[in-house]
Amino acid sequence: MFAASLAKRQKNRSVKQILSPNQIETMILTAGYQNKDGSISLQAKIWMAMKLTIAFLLFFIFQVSAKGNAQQITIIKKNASLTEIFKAIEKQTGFLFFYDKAVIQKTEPIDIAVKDATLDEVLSTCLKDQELTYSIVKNTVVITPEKKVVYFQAQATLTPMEIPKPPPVVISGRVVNQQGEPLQNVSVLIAGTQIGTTTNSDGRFSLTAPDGRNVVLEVSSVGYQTKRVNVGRQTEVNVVLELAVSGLSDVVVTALGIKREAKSLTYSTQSVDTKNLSEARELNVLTSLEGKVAGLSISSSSGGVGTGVRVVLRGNRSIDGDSQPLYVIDGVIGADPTTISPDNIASINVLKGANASALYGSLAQNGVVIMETKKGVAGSHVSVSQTFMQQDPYAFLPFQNEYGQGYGGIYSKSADASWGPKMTGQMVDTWSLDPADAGKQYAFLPQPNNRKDAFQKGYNSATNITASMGSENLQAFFSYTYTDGKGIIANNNLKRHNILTRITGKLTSKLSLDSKVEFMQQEIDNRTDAYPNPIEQIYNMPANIRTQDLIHYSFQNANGNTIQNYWNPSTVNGQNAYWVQNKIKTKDAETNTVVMTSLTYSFSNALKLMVRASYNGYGNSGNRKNYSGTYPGGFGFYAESKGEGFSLNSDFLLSYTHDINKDFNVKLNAGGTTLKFRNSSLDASTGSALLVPNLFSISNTNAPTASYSPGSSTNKNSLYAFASVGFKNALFLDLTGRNDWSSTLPEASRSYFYPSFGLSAVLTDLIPTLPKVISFAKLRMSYADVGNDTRPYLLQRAVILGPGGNNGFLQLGGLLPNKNLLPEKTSSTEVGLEIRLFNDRVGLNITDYQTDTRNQLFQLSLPVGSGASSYFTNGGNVRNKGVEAILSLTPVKAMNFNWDVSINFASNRNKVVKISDQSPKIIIPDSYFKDFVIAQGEPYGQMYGKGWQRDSQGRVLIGSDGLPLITPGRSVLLSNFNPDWIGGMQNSFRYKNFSLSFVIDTRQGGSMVSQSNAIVDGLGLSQRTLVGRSGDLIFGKNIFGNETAVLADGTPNNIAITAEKFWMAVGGRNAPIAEPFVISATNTRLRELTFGYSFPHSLLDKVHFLADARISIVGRNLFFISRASPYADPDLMSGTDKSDEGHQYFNPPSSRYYGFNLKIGFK
Amino acid sequence: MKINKILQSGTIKLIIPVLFLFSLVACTKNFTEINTPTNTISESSIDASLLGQAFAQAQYRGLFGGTTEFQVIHNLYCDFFSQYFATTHPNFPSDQFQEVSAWTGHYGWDVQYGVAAPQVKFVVDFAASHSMPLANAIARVWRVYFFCRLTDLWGPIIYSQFGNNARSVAYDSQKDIYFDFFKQLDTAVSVLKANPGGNAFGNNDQIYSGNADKWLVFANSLRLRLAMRLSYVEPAFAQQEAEKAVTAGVMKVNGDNASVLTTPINSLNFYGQITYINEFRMSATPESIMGGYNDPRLSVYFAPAEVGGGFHGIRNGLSRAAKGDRINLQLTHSFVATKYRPIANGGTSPPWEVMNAAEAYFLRAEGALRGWNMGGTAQDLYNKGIQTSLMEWTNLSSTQIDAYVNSTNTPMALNDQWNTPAASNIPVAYLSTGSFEKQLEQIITQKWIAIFPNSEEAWAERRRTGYPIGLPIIESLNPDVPVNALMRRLTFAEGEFSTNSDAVQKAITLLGSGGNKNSTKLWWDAKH
Repeated sequence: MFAASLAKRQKNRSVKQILSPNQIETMILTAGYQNKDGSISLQAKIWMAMKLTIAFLLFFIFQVSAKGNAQQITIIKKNASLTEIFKAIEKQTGFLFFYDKAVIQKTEPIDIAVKDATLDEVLSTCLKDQELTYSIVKNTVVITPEKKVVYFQAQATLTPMEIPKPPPVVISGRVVNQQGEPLQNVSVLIAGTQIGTTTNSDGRFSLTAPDGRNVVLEVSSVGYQTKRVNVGRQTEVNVVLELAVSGLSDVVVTALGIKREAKSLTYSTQSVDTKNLSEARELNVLTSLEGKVAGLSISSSSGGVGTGVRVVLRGNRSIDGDSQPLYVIDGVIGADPTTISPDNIASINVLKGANASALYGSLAQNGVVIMETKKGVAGSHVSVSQTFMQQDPYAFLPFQNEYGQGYGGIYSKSADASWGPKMTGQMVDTWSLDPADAGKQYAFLPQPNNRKDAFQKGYNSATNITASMGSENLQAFFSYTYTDGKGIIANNNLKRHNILTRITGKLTSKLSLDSKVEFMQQEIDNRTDAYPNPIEQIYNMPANIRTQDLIHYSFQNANGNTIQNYWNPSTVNGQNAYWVQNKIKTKDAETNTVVMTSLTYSFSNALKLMVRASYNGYGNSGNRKNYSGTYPGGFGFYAESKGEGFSLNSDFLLSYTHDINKDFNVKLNAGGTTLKFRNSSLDASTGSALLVPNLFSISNTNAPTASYSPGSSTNKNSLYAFASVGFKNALFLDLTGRNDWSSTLPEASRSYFYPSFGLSAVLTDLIPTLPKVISFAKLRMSYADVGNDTRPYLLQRAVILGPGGNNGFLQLGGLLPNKNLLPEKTSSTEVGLEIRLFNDRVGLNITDYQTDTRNQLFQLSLPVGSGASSYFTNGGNVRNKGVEAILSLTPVKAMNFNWDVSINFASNRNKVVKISDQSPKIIIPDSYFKDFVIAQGEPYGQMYGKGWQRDSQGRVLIGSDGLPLITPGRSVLLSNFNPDWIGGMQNSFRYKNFSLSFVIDTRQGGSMVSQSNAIVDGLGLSQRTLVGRSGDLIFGKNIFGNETAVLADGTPNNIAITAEKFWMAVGGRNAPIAEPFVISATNTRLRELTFGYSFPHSLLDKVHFLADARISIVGRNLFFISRASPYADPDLMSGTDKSDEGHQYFNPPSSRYYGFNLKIGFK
Repeated sequence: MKINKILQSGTIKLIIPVLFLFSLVACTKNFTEINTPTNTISESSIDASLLGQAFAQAQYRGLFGGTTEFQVIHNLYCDFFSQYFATTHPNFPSDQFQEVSAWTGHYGWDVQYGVAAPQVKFVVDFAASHSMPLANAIARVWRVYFFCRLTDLWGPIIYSQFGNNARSVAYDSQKDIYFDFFKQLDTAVSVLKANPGGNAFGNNDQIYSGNADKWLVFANSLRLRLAMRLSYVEPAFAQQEAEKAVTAGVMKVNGDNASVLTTPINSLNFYGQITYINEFRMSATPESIMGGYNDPRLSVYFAPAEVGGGFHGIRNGLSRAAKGDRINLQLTHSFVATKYRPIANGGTSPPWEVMNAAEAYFLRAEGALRGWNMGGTAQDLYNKGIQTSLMEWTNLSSTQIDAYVNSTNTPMALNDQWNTPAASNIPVAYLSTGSFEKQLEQIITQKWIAIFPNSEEAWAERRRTGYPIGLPIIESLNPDVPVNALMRRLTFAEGEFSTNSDAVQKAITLLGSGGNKNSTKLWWDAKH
């Protein structure tokens, strides 16, 4: 309805397409060069391009079609005077021009690029900024000074505005806080009028006063004292806002996008400073949150550039689900934050517990990360930025460099293990299979850099151009980011494009609009977690392998086929590291489109209705090409996959504010949403092998396979209401209620309701007698229930018809249906205290919480002999209890020097209170190594594996062969990744225009099991396999000396064996024992360092088109300050599933990133 | 007050959109449809017309589960333990008697029980509850075949309690299972007999296209095979069941053979799906025995060495170091015959034979040797078995066949790097005057040749009888099983210790004093 009337209005205004999109893009991108001839300012050109762009975009958005008149005029000229243009038109059309030369000569030269345009189009283009108008009388064009109507820049496409004489005055300026930091979204209003604007991210604003007389600006922002500034004759106004007394500086975006004063919140949230996100940049912006948010822990998988991360807030709680938070970007639920451009992020607010997220419902039971992208502001602002960060791998596993390939101390050119002789330079046969190398020998010497050689330095680079423009009533924001990354493994590359257009504005005095289109396209080549893992191939390299030999990774045999050259050919986990990087190609492409439109209608100051629709669509495609010569055999392999999905969300929110009397204020919100998820995927491959070598076509096979998955369709509808009652703006009571209807649950339990309530008391306002030293104190408590549904299709047992036999095969699914599923429920309680002392120089925010995730929906494994693999059921309770604290300090606060410290601490304890009495344990096994166990009475996520057999005194039993006895099953508790506590410290220094900030984070406690270590130890590659090489390894003495080891008769172990015998028995790939490979996850590191310099305005003002410029030197993950085990980086996990937590499998080495960021803003 | 004002001024504006939005939210009528996947059928909607496809799946998956399962269980275990093949791959320790329990547990046990067994049960139960007696009888016979393979791998297995949908599933002793097999066959046979000329499943039956008469012959032959397995542990019962089988009519001609159909998509011959990985070669045992006999089937089963030609096997149980030069090992030794290779490499994806007439003759020969009434003498039946097998695999003339049957060739010593001695000294020609053991060795050795590549059966019979004697493996990594001994079983699946712990602990006690080891003999493994 709204959209239709808008479109109609647009049509009447006849916005016309003048330039092709290519031309516009060319202008934007080449604007800087054009400026070299010095005559036209960059600003003007960009400005014009912007104007054209918005016209163009509006054209598309509203699907206006414009047909031109008969005349076809083509003029492409730079820096042309109007007279020149008029002459050109006269030539092309035969029209004559009539004008006052004096008037025309005052005009600025312009750039014009029109093709096959009508006379009207050309004239309106070239007269647009000139305060001139025209009329056509027969064959004559009359140019006259414009009399009454001024079309304001972008606004020109909407409502024309009467501007009375005398001439309007443009007032611009900047709003900063007491620390001199720019304040965004500050309202700047000309007192007594409706003319106003908001500040941009740099705190800048610009507005036009009807005239220069008696202008008073009202500058206000929630949490700050409103300031009135008498402008006088100035056109540049700088304003410093002071914090409102006993208020908080923050306005936070809470659930459903409701902006609230932090002081009224009854639960814990934490906003993240977004400035550093685009400076010390990560390919996945979530990684940048590490160390900055209390209670948030992040681990990355081993996929190389653009790899996935696992984010957990306040501990794992879901037995079946993944316990990761919900992401909401501009109100779009479930948007993907991993590929968003940090340049576009205006704010990040983390709602930590279920209390904070009660209004998002089930999806949010693990907390919510709310992001808002940037909006346009009045005036024009264009900025470009460039970041370049080099990635430098530095922490490898500790390898030995003394013994080379072989077994039993004897060299074997084809051995995968390094139990061979000492490398002393003796001549040995080459391992090369290339007939050309037959009979060659080489000196058997350590090659300490052979693994390092196989890595490279990576980088990520991002280029961003941002333009914001608008008037008081309509603002637009455009951003384009190109990101380019290269991994530390050859051919592991990433390319990403992010495009964002956002339009906000007031359509009428009552109706406002917020609309955006966001598009992302990304391609990743050769993810390193694609099979086979190249890191594994590199790490498994014996110490005697020379890079110069290994790099010769293939040769042609007599039949002309390409053969992989490798010392231990055709083994599943052993391939030439360079072959894997060059001859196994994978590509993962992804697109993501988010379209959102929201309209808010104000019935009155008190009553508003917001309606919003958003579409979040994604597509992904991938392929794999194994070249002929890749294990396993054949002439190669080819696979293609395509997937797509979307969520469609429509919601509305009715908000009502009412001051009952002087003391009581009530805010009511009621809304509803319908959420629809759909996805599907199609996979095809050549099955076992290609017929024709290296022809990557699905039909190049005798055994093609194809499968289609209809994905998981889910619909969910919800209604909710939220009430907040304020007393004297110091005591707040929150009540929420929500009812969901989910398609995944049986009809009887499809609908479920859950409430929450909260209370907060600003003590400093309520108790006037508090000592002065306390500038702010607040107590809060809240309780929330959050319901949850489950995956679709669990109500009946699936039967799949697949190919095979004469007429197909019918296969029963392994999961038993459960027709009596109930919704899941998380209850969470939290209490918190916020206190600020010494005029806010010291702040402490403490939260204590407990969540009980009851009645969980999960899958219980059945013994396979039961006839099904598992069934779905309800039950269980996982409890997380913890405390979080944020301490903020401002040790120094002076005119030119400022030092801020923010320290966060979080400790979470979890316990699986209950699963089910019949099945008190849930085991997620892997094929070779360990079980991830969720067991009643134990902390979540215990890792079990095979280990040493022990006697009643805990002594390790040693067999007659000198090897420890091994437990028959995975019965030994190995590790648990949950830390005792995690913390971070952020320090920011500002001295004049310099700023320095760094983040240190720490993780104390928790342990992991490393399958990589099991394999490299089994192969005799690591330093610790040097002990006992000559047959003098005695378990319990010179290895695992912390264990008491006894023989069957109880006497201490004294049987000496070889290191080879020991490590081959306990390590290796096929049947490793996990207990010897447990490592501590404790570590502290310098996470982020930014050193920046903002060019002073006194300097910038000399270059008339520069508004601001900042350069910073940035580093991330620079070094470990300490770590308990040199064998692994606890940030890097084998994957992002819950059972991958605390499991390492040939993760990439730790890498540091360092580089620079340059950001320039134009006037 | 304010609200009243609003109602007066903006009632319509406010109420219409809100009502509209509420109505969207309230709509849940298509939720059930949304929660039903579009590419599957629900269990409850399977009808008799779809049962055939379920049986087809039960047959094909009932063989091994799938490709990886075939590789792990059939190729890496049974093929090596029967000494048809040996591995060239350093990462496969099963040829050195070291079981990778994660593999056998997951692929051997979990997949057989997770994929194949529910399917077999479903068909039996569905046919029973939908009055489809013939389909039920055929599925029962197949179920006996399926579980027989499983119990011969592990001993006690989940059998009678299978499919109880419970959190604990008890194991049965092998004795109870075998005795039940015969009862199951009794039930099935009585129905099959009562329906001459009957058909169930049509061409969805991957073996006999639903021909009930052929299934009857297969059921009897299977009874004979099972009976013989009990020859040492329950000799009288074995004789009774074997004689019952022969009287009822077992396979006599190759037209009776039971082979599971293979098709190009999703049901290829399993070797065709793993041979491209190129990780095993003919064992030295066939080279010694079949080479010594100058057996015409040698070139049918195996391919000449790529380099140097000829049929050469490698010894089982090579050490990792010895397998180091695998390229050379592979080039100079015989791979499985081309027909078993991928279609791209000239393979033909032959059907998968589960039992043939030759085997029935050898079973009868052994019975006769034991003095049972098998409708012929041991020698006649032995010769008939060889003739039937040669007719199955070769185009030899009857004269050539007779020449082989009467050949006095014996297994040969190999002039190889391991100085391999002859695997035995028995000739082809039947030693009717030889000792019982000599005759038995001949019968079982010829059966071993005839049933290639059914290594499950070959390994079971090696365990039961000790024949063919084969060659000691080069190196054993298993302290319980020395190089000249045999692997006797697989250990229970690791997952069972987690998900079905009580039951598997009880199952271990069913194994007797040997415990859950590879060296523990099964119940029927009672010769010595």
